[in-house]
Amino acid sequence: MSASDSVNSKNSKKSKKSKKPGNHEQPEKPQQSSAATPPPRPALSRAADADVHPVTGRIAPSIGAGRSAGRSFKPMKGGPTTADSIMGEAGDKLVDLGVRVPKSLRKKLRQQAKARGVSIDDLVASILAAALPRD
Amino acid sequence: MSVTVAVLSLKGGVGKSSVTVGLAGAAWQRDRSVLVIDCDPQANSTLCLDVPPHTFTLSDVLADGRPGIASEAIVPSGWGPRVHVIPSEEALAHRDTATMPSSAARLRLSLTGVADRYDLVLLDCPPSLGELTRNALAAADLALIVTEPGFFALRGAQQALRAIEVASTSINLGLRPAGIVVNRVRANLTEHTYRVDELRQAYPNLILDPVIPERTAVQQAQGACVPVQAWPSPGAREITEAFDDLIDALLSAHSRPQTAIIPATREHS
Repeated sequence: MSASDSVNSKNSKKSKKSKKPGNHEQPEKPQQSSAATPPPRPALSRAADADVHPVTGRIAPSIGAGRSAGRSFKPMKGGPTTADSIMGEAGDKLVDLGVRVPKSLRKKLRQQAKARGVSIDDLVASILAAALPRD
Repeated sequence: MSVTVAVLSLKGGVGKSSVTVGLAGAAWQRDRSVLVIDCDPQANSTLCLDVPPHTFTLSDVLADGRPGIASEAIVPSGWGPRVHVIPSEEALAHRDTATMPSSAARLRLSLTGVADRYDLVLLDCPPSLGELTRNALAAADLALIVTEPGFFALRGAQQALRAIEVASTSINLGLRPAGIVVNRVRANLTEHTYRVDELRQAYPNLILDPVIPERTAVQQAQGACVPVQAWPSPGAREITEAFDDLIDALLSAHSRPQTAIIPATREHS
C-alpha cells in the first residue's frame, strides 16, 4: 500500500455524511459474510475532551479552529482563553450604567480611549474591573 | 526500510520542531515518503508543514488507541504528496497525563501497520517527560536528542539520555539513541565553541556531525511554511547540507549495532 492511500480523513468525513437521513445516495450493499473479511472498524471520532480548554477547563468549540492550521490559522475570537481564567467571565451580558462624573474626567477618558484605540465603554469597564475586588 | 525517530529534548526552545521539519525537508528533497507526528500541544510542526483544515488530531488518536487507528488522522502537508502529518492541537495537553499503566503504548499501538508505509516517521516531542514523550519513546526505533550550546540545554540533553536509558529498559526494549544534534551554533562565539567541545568530551560517540548553524533562513522558511531546502539563500543552502548529512547519520544509526550510552551518561552525571 502506498503512503498516499493512507490519507483517508476526507473519506471518513464522506462516509459520515452518507449516513445522515435525507441524503439521497445509493444505499450500501449488504456485505457478504465471509471468514476472510474482517468486520468494518468504527471510524475515528473526536476525543470526548477535544473541545475542553486544557488550562481553563471550559468548553470551547472554537478551539477547533486550531484544526484548520497552516496559513489560514486565525487567532481565536470570542471563545474562552487562558486569560479568561485570570480576568473573569468573557461572556457576561453587557448592561447600561449611567454615572455622573466631572467633565474634565470624561475628557481624560475620551483622550485615553482614543490614544489606546478602544471605545470609552471598554476603557471604563476595564478600569472598574481592575479596581474592584475579584470574587 | 522504515525508521521511526523521536526528536526530543527535555528543555524547551532548543529547536526540536525546527530539527523535525528540517529532517522532513531533507526527506522531501530526496523524494522519500515521510510522516511527521506532532506530539507537542504547541503544534508548531503542524503550523510549519502548512497542513490544510482537518478533522482529527493526535489527541483523538491517543484517546481512541486502537491498533492502526492513526491512519485515519493522517493528512497531507502543504509540502508535497510524500510528506504527511498527524497534526497536533491545544487539546493534546489532555493526553500528557498517564491514565493507566499501559497508556504509554497507545501511540505505538495506533501506528500498527501505519509506520511501515513510510521511509521515515518523525515524532516531534514536547519539552517535558510527560506521557506524550513516553508515548513517543515507546513508539520509536531511534531517539534523537536536540540541544543547543548552553549550560541549561546540556543539562536537558543529559536528562533526555537518562529518559532514553529508562525507556529502553522498560517501555521499549528496541529503542536506541540516534545521537545528539547540536542546534543553533554560532561558531564565532567562544561560549558556543566551549559548550560544543564539552559535549564532545562527555558523549564522544553520540554527537552528530555536522552541528546545525544558526541561520535566519530557518525562521524565514518556517514563516513561509516551506522546507528550508526550498529557501533561496546561502544560509538555507548551508542548513540544507547539514540536514542532508544528519539524515544520512540517522539512517546509518538505524542499521548499525546498538551504541552504549549508559557509561557516558553516568560519567557526566
